[in-house]
Amino acid sequence: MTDRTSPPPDQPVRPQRTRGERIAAVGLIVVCGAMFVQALGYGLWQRNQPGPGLFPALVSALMVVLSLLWLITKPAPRPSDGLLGAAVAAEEAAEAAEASRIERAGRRTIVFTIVWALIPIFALDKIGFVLTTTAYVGGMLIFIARIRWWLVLPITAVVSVLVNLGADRIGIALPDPFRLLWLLGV
Amino acid sequence: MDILKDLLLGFSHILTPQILAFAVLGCALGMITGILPGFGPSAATALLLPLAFVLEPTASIVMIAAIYYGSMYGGTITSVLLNIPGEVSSVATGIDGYEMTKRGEAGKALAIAAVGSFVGGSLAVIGVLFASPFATLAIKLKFTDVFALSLLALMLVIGLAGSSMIKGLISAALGLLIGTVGLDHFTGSPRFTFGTLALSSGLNYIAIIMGLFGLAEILENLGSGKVPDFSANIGSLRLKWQDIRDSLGSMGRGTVIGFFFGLVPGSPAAASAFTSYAVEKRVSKHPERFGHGAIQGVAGPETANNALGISNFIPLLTLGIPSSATMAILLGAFIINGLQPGPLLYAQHPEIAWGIIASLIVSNVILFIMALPLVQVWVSILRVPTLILYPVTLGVMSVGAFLTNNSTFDILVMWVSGLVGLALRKLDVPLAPAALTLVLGPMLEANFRRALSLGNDPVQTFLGSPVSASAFALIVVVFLIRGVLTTRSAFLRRKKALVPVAGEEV
Repeated sequence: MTDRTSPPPDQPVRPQRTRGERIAAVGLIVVCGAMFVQALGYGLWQRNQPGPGLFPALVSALMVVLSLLWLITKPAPRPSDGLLGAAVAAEEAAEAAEASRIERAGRRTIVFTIVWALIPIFALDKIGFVLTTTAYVGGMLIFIARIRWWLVLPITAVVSVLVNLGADRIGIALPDPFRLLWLLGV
Repeated sequence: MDILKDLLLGFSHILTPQILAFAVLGCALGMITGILPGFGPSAATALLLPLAFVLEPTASIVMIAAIYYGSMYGGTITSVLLNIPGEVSSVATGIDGYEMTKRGEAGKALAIAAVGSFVGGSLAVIGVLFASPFATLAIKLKFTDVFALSLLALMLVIGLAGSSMIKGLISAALGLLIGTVGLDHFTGSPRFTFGTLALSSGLNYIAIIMGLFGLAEILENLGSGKVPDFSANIGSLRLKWQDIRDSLGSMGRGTVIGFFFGLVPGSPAAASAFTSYAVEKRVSKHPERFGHGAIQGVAGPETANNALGISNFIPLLTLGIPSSATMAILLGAFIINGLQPGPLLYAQHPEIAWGIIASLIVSNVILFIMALPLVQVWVSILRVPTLILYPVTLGVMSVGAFLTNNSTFDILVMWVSGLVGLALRKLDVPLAPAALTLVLGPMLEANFRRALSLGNDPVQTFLGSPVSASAFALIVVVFLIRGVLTTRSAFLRRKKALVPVAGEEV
C-alpha cells in the first residue's frame, strides 16, 4: 500500500525547513511582533515629524513578514535531493550521525566556555584585570587545553601583569582596584 | 604644474628624519592597536591624540594620520587569521581571508591585503591632489540621496554569503533592529531599553561584531569537536605574480568604490568594503569561489578600505568638514595646534596642507614596507596550538570588549551576540548583511526621518532628486535580477534532480 502523502518515486522530494529553522522563525515572529507593538507605543508621528517609533515599527513589521516567509516557504532543492542524490543523501546521513556524536562531547566544552565567561562579565571591574585574566584564561587552558595548573597559573599571572603594565605605559587604563601593579612595585 | 610645485613644497617640509621617524612610529603603533579586538582606527587615534599636545603641528598630524591607516591594516590581520574583526570594515576582508587561512594561505591573504592597501592608498592620493570639485559635489548630496545610496549599498550586499534571499534579508533587518536600541537621536526617547541605563547608549556594535564572527567561530569549532589545526597548514607566505594579476581588477574597482564612499560625509568604511566585495562577486567569472577563499574577495575590500581612508581627508582638508569619527579626531589635532582645515589652510599654511598630502604618500610606502616582512610574524601566531590560542583569544576579546566603553556589560553583549551568531551559522543565515546594517542602520534611519520631515509628498521627496531616483531605479533592477536568477537556478536544480544516474533505473 502506498502512502498517499508521499510523492511518486520519480519526483524529486523538495526538502522541508529543518526543525531549528521553524523554531527560529516562530521565535522571530513572536519577538519582532512584540517589538512592533512596543514601537507603536513610541509614536509613529509627532508634531508633523516622524516619531521615534516609525523606523523600528517598519523594520520589526518587515522582520515579521520575512520570518513568516521563512516559516511557510520551502528551501530550494539541493543537487543531492531527488533520485540523483540518493547515495549522497545516505552518505550525508552517516556523516550527520558521526557529527552528532562528536557534537555531544563538544556541547560540554561549549557549556563550560559559556559558564566560565561569567568570570570576566562579573569580576573584571571588581577584582581587576590581572586576577580576572589569570582565572579566566588560566582556567580555560587547564580545562580545555589540558595543561597542568602549576604550569599555567604562574605563566598566565606573569603575562597578565606584563600586559597590564604595557597597557598602562601606552595610556590604556585596565581595571586594577587592588592596585596590584603598585603593590608589585612595577 | 602648480600642483607638482606645491607637492614638492610638502615633501621638502616632511622629508626630515624626525617626521619620518614619527610616521614610522605612527604606522607601528597603529598596526599594534589595530590588532587588538575592539580597537578600530577611531579608538586608536583617540587614544594617541594627546601626542598632538607635545609634538609640533606637522609631526603630530603626520603621526596621527599614520596611526589611522596603520590601525586600518592592523584590523585586517586578526580578521584574516582568526576571523575576529576588530572593526566592522574588516568583516568583508575576513569572509574570504579567513577561508584562505583555513586553506593554508594566510600569508598570501595578508600579503595581498598589504598590496591592496598600498595600491588603494596610492591611487586615492592622486584623487586627493585634484580633490576640491569632488568634495563640493559630495557635500551637495541631500538626505534622500544619502538614504537611497545607503539602501543601494545594502541591497548589493544582501545575499552575499548565502544562497537564500529571505535569510539575507532577515540578517539585514536584524542588524537594523539592533541599531534602534537606545536613546532616539532626534527626541531622546528611550527605545527597547527596558529601563536599563546600560542599554540607553545603544548596543556596542564592536562587541556585537566580535561576538557574531569571532566568538561564534570559536564556539562552533570547540563544539564540533574538530578544532582546526592551523599550524599544520601554514603554506607559502609569498604572493605569485598570478595572484597579483588576478587581483588587479579588484584593486582598481576597490579604489574607485572606496574613493567615492570616502567623499560622502558619514559614510561608514564598512559600506565601501562590503560594496566592493559584492561588486567583485558579481563581476567574477567564478562567483562560487567567493566565501571559499577567493583572493579577489580580500584584495577588493581591503583596497576600498584604504582608498576610503585617504579620500576621507578630502572633505577635511578642502572644506574643514570631518567625514568620519576618525577625521573628527584629526580635526581635533589640527585645532590643538591652532590650525583650521579648509580652503584657508592652503593659503595660510601651504607647507602644512601639502605636507600632510605628501605624508599620505610617504606613510603609505612606509606601511607597505613594514607590512610585507611582518606577514611572517603575524602568520607565526597560527603556529600556536589552537587549544591554547582560543583561550588566550577569548581573554583578549573580553578585555577588548570591556575597553570600548569601560563596561563589563559589553562583554555580556559580546557573549549574547556570540550565541546568536552560533545559532545563525547553524541555520545557514549569512552574518555579513547584519554586520553592515548595524553600522548603516542609524545613518539610514536619520536620513529617512530627515527626508520625511522636509517634504509633504513622499514620492517627490524620495524620487525628486536625480541621484536618489537613479539609486532607487538601481535597487529595483538589483531585486529583479536577483529574483530572475533565483527562479532560474531553482528551475535548473529541479530539472537536474530528475536526471537519472547512469546505469540506474528510473
